[in-house]
Amino acid sequence: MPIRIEVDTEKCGNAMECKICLRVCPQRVFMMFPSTYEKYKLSERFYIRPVHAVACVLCNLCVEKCPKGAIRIITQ
Amino acid sequence: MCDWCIKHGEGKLWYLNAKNYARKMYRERKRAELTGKVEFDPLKLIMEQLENALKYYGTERWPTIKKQIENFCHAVHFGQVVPLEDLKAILDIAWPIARITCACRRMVYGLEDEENFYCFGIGVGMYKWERWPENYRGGVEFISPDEAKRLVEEFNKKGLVHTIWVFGTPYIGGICNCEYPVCLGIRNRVDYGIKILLKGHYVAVLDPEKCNGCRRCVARCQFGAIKYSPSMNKVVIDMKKCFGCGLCVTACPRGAIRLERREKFPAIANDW
Repeated sequence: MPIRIEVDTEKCGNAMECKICLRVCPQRVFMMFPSTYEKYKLSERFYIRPVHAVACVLCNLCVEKCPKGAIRIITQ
Repeated sequence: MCDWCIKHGEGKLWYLNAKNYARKMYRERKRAELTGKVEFDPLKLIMEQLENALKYYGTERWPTIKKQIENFCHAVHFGQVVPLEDLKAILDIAWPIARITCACRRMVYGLEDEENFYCFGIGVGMYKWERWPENYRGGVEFISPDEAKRLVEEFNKKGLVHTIWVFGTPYIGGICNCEYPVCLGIRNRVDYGIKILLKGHYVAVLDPEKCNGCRRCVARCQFGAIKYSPSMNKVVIDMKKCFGCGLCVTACPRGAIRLERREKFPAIANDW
C-alpha cells in the first residue's frame, strides 16, 4: 500500500519550537530541515519533511498529536 | 584490500594515512567545489539527493537510483566504521580536533544544542566553521587529542559506533559517534542498503567456549548482527552483518569476542 505523508509547512510554522512529531513517531519517519542553507546565513525557521515515509506503519500518532493539524496521511 | 586503501592508503589503512587529513587535500576539495564539479555538503546531500532517491524505494528503478546515489556518495561524502583502537590512532594524526553538535540528531530527534555534542570536526575547516551558521549551531570547542580519546572512550562505553566521514574523497573531516536509527549513514545502510556508510576493516569473531550467554553484547550491536540462542545459552554473531565496530568486544566481560581483519575471511573480504 503506497503511503504519502503531507506536511503543511504553513500550518506547521517553525518546527524548532514544537518537534512533537519527531518525538512521537515510532518509526522515525520525519526529519527537520533548515529553511535556508547558505554561507553566513542562519536559518530563521525549520520545517518537517517525511523523509522515511516508506517506514510508516499508519499508526496515525503524528496526525493525532500534531497541535496544529498540519500532517495528513494519504493512502491510495 | 578496499578500494580506498589501494588509492589513498599508501600501504596502510587509508584512514591512518596522514595525507588524507592534510590541509592540501582540504584546498583541493575547495577547488573542486569552485569549479562546480563536486558538491560535498552533507546537509544538501540529504535534502536533495537522498530524499529524492528514497521516493523510488521498492520500484523497478530503485537499483539504478541506488547505484547512482552510491557513486555520488563515494566521490563526495561517505563514512566508514572504525573500532576504538584505530580511532585513537586517528586522533593522534588529525589536527585540530573540535567538538561539534551532531546534525543528524538535531534533524531526526530534534536534540537541543547543549545535549547534542556527539561529533568531532577535524582539520583546518574547523577554524572557520562559523561561516556555516547552520552547521555551527552550538559552536565548536577545540580539545586536545588526550581529551578526545577520553571522550571517545566514554562514547564507546555508552554504546556508540565510531565512524569517520569524508568531505570530498579522500579528505577526512569528521568523526561521528552514531546509533541507529538517528544516524544518516547507519539508517540508510541498514534500512535501504545504500552504501553511504561502509563496513570497517574488521569483523567480530566469537569464541563459543568462553561465552556464558550474558547477552551484554546483544544490546550494544546497532546493526542487528548478534542474536542470542536460548537453547545453547550463547550468542551467535552473523559475520556477514557485522560492521566491525568492536562495541561487543569492549562489552564482553569474559573476553569471548575478538576483532579480526576482514581479509582473513575470503567470502567477506571485499564486502564493504
